[in-house]
Amino acid sequence: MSRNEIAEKLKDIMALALGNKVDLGKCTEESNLTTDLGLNSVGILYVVIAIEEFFGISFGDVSFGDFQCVGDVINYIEEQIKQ
Amino acid sequence: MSLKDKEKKKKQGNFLYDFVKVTGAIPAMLWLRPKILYVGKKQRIKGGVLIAANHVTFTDPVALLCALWYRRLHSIATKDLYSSKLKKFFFNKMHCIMVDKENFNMGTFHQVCERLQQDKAVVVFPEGTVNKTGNAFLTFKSGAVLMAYKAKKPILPIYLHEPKKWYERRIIVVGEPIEINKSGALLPSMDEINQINQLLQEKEEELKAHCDSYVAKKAKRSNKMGIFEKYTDKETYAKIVDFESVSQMWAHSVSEYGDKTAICDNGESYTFSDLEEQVARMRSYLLENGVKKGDNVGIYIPNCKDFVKTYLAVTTIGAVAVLLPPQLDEMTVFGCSMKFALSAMVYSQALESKLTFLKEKRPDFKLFPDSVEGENSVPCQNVAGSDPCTVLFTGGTTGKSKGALLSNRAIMRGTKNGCYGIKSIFNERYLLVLPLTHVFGLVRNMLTSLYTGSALFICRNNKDMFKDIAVFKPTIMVLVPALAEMAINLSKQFGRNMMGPDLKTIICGAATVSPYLVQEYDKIGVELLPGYGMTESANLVSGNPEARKKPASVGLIYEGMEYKVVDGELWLKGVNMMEGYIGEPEENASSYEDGWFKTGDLVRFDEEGFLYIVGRKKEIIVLSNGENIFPAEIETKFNEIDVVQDSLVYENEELNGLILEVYPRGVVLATVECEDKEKYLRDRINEVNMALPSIQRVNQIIIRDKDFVRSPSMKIVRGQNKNEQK
Repeated sequence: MSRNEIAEKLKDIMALALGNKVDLGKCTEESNLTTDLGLNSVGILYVVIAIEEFFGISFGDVSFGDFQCVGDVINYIEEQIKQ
Repeated sequence: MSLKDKEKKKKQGNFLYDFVKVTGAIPAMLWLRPKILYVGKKQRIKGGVLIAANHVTFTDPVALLCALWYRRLHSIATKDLYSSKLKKFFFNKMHCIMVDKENFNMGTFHQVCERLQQDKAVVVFPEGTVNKTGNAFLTFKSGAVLMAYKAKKPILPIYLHEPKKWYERRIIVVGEPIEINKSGALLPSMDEINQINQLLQEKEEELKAHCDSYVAKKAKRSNKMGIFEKYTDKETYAKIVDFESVSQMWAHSVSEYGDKTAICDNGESYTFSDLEEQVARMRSYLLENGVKKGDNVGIYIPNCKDFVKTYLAVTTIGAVAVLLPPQLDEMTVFGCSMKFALSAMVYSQALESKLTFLKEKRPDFKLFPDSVEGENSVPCQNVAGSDPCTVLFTGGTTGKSKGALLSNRAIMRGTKNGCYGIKSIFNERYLLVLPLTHVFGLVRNMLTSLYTGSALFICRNNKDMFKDIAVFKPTIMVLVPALAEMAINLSKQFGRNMMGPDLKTIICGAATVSPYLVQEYDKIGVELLPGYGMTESANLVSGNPEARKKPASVGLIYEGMEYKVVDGELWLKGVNMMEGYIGEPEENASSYEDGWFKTGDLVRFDEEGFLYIVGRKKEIIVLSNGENIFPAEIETKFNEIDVVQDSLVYENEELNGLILEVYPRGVVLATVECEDKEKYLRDRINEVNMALPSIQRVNQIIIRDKDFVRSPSMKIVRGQNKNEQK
């Protein structure tokens, strides 16, 4: 999967979590998950579970505090897919 | 069992767990003596299930084990319990799953899902730690939902009652398992999650209500008739007798206390006999002019001796006194004459100008000035307990104004109730500052004063309250919290007791009394006794006895008052209850059920039977995530701050949360040594805010520079105070 494909899929997942409250068109890799996109703690949990399901990867013991922006999440997914 | 199955069982089994369970069972049962209540079908839960319980004390896991003794429970345990190697070993053997609340990660999530899928029973405490200060509250609750959803297992809600004393029986309320993922989908939508959260919230409340009902019933059983007898001395208790009617009571008082001072007003003093002479002449006048027993007679008079005289004259001939508050305008006065089918009205000259419209529309209507005297003297007439006596307006902070009809028996019971639990109640001196058209002023102040042979000094204008106190030196006062607050603040400002040297007791009610007030009055040697009641119950339903008062409580329920708690709401029945609202068939229908009056107040009892008001049913705020908030409960916490005089919590519709408006207690704030008073105030408020469970925290704080808009009985009007200051 290319990085762009991952990003697009991730956007779809976040749209589900945010329920169209945020315009994801302006979302970039630098967008902060909480302050820019408004994902609260529930939302992040939801996104993580969805990523696990759709990408078939596992977040294991990684803590949510480790992900600040969209780019961080894409990096992690890429890494996991390679393994 | 085949060899393979035996091996499987051995792997699952765990000697240490079983050992702890068996040896711990007897001491646990002896200590907790658990009482298990079931809402719904009592059943043994088989297979994988996620148990969601509230967390109140460290014995909770043991309590849960008592409720579900037939299962092995796999419990979520916080990271700090795994602080040593030995503890780590122990908790692992106890089938616990470690969770780091600060940094919730997927490891825990997967472990729980795995165990659920292995048909284990997993226990989570969605609220977080016992101290309820966890930041991850909402995450964890939704997390619990997601875990059950993913594993396709049901959630079993359990409510654990918080024991007030360590030796108290633990009450555990078990609900029915809720199927979360019927469709077997991989992932729910956010809406679905919110819906499930809301459902869980409702179920939890159902369980809590069931528990509260049970606790109330238990308290009732121990609250036998005569509980106030314990707190009232024998001689006084014997003198507190029932009277069927105001007429009977007044006749008795006149004969018993004839020469004692009954009323002081406008520089004049009247004994019981003096007053009766005047009342007797007015009776004569009313009867001569066609007023009959059972007629509705309007009384439109401000606080003064003539009000008392007129009230007694009307009620002691068996007519019904319809009390019209002096602040009513012309149109409303006319409207009342029609709505309450008045046959006549007695008015004060001071209010004559507001009768123009009435006189115009109804030229034949009988209007009598309060100075009228008849040809003869007519004595107290025979009036039965069931005969209607008084119509009082009930305002309230929300809802429209209605007229409540009270019988003679009801009014007399209300009058009698106020006498209990106070060391010295007969032959006292009262200073009246509350309006006589409000039940608190009429029953607890005026009627109780006449009933107990006490002297009632009428303060015509509240601005002269302290001048009058200095002259009259009252021993008891009946106040609403706003007035008591003002009095103590002034006393502090002037550095002396403004309440007079003889004041022993203040009866305080009609709005929430802050424990701060009780403590401040204690310092100057005055007993401030909070009580609770309403117009519909002829005043006091409960009161704090002097000998045993609990500042945060509204006291013990008075004798003969029947009560029950339904879904947290207090329902009442008894001799002192009203007949109904006049001309309001819909209100009457919705306020009663099976003969019980629904107060709309949410309450709880403690183990000694003391009553606490938790909030008003109509005041519940439901946030968009389904959480129910009782603003009154939160306001109480902020009102405990000494620099906060009063506070108001309401919904922040834009940001989905709560707003707090605070009116600071200037007198105390002035004594604080700091440069930035506002910052100090905000810091104090934030301290309290952060100690609240996260769902109760406010996300905006507004500091007012003037007091809240209040109703005539000085309660904060909820609807009108929102967003007044930006």
